[in-house]
Amino acid sequence: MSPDLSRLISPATKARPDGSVAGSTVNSDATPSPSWLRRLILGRNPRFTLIRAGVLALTAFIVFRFILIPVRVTGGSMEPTYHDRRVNFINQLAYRSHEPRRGDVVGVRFAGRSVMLLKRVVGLPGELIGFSNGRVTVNGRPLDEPYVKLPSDWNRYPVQLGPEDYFVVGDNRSMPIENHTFGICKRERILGRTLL
Amino acid sequence: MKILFRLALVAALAGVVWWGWGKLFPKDEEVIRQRVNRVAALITFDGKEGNFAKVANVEEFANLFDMEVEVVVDTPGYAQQILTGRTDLRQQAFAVRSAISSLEVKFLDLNVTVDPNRTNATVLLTGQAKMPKERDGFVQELKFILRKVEGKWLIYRVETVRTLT
Repeated sequence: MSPDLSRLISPATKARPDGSVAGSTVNSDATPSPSWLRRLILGRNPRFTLIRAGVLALTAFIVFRFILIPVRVTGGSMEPTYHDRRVNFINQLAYRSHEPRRGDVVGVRFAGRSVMLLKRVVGLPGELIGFSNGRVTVNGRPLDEPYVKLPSDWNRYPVQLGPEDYFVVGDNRSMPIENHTFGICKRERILGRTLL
Repeated sequence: MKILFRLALVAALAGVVWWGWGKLFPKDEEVIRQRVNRVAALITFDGKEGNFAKVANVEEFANLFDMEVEVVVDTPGYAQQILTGRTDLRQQAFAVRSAISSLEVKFLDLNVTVDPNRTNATVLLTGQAKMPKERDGFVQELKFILRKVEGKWLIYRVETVRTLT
């Protein structure tokens, strides 16, 4: 992929009828001239490049501010589905057309969006949720959870969810129940669903 | 061109005046925000803090609170702890500084609500504390309640908020 030599010539130089060029000579072995670098960075038309860069920056700002929140998972409460230090995105538009569903992995906010909990929805409004021998029970029936790979011995009395309540819990139930953050969260705290 | 220049100058001047006004006469929300952030700055310390600095920082920290302040800490897996009064708080601040070599505290996402009578305010925030050799730290949602005493906003109650119940 040798560069097109005609484009390396500055506009001030003129081509002769025999095809040779007046002024400084150019050969393919020459190191890239500043004009080549300039074009690589600024493009053929710096004004359009600037507009493109501006549009790209604005799009990135809107997308990552209002639609997809970039997050980094810390801790092992969602193992083995999400590993520690993994990067993900919370899609804030996921629940524009429908409410959170059982099995969704959602971002639950604290006071704001800077830090959030990453948990799986296992209980929906109005349900009775408990744990029996490591399995989630919904209205007294055990829930099938293929994403839970690690053994668990959790037991907890069932709790009744209100009309705006969701029950969220991590996939790693092998840790002691008192060390795991889980429970009822209000709908308003659920920011969105994980993208990846 | 001259008119444009003059307009730009007037706009710049207006901006400076607006900024200066905000700095000289800050809104209650801004004062509260600064005060709460100051709490985080004063709780934070490292091993290089000398004895005089330690006393000065703890004293300044305690003075941000009301004399009858109540701090209620209720975190899952631990028994509820209640601290009452500025003296108790000061002692706890000294105790923490003696027990660990450093502590980094940050308050994120401050939501300030001032009552219509402008004498009481509530701040909801996410507190992040990191101790030495800890990679991620501890996160806790907190609620600060402040009241205006002789023109000064003082914290008179701090409580932990359960994100999941």
